[in-house]
Amino acid sequence: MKISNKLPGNLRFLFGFLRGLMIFCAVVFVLSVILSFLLPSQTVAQRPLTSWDTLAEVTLTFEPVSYRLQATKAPAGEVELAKIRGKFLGNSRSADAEIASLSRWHFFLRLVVDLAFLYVLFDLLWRLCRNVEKGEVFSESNTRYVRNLGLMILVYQAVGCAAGFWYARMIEGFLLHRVVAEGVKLKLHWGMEVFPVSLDLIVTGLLLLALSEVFRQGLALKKENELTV
Amino acid sequence: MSLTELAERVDITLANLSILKTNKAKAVRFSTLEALCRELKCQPGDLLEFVDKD
Repeated sequence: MKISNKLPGNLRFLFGFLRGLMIFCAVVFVLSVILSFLLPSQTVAQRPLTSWDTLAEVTLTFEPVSYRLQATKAPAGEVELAKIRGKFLGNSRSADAEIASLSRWHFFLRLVVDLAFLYVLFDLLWRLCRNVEKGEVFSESNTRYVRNLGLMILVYQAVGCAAGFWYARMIEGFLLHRVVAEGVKLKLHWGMEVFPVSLDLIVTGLLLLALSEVFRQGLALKKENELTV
Repeated sequence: MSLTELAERVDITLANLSILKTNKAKAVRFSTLEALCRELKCQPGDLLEFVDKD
């Protein structure tokens, strides 16, 4: 009994659709940027006043005299608040050019890097599934696709890390020179969210690189077997 | 005996027999060599020859 395997075909359709969706998103993005320059800008009275975007995660440390914290039924000084973390928001529609610019950079950086990565990812997966659907598993092109998938994931993480670091330096400079906070000290929290890297993705990229070596050796065995009678 | 008949008797495909005939094979199984010698009533030395490629 022949068992038909429709999975490669279905996956090819899914990845093709997702690839097309990334192209659509990129076109919409480019058009919206062009339109924002071409269309007459709204008057100050017509524009919505606020549109809050998260610019960064910040740690707040409190100056001792600015707050009072006490547990009920306990003497004073038994509980202490050292620092808390929160989101630093900026109004992307602010009349202040630097605030609006920070918000735009945060959005654009993530959108451009993520769109490019996702398009290449879905394109490589679509090509891989197309070959498997044709019955071509261990081949030069599939070996190349799997290797490029692994490399691309690692490059995406490196680019994301570099972009996050660059943006965080901008925010830190802004906090230092432009923001005055009374009663609290604002400090940028240099945690993992500043460097948007995912250990899961890095391990996946390395696994794919190892898998490409398996494909390469499988191809060599296949070639040798093909001409063995 | 035709190539088709020989391929059937030796239990390999006509394509593989053609690969053998045109010297494109990289390896031959002992079982195939034995079957060829049996059907063609010859010795392995009659089918194999060493050629120094240098």
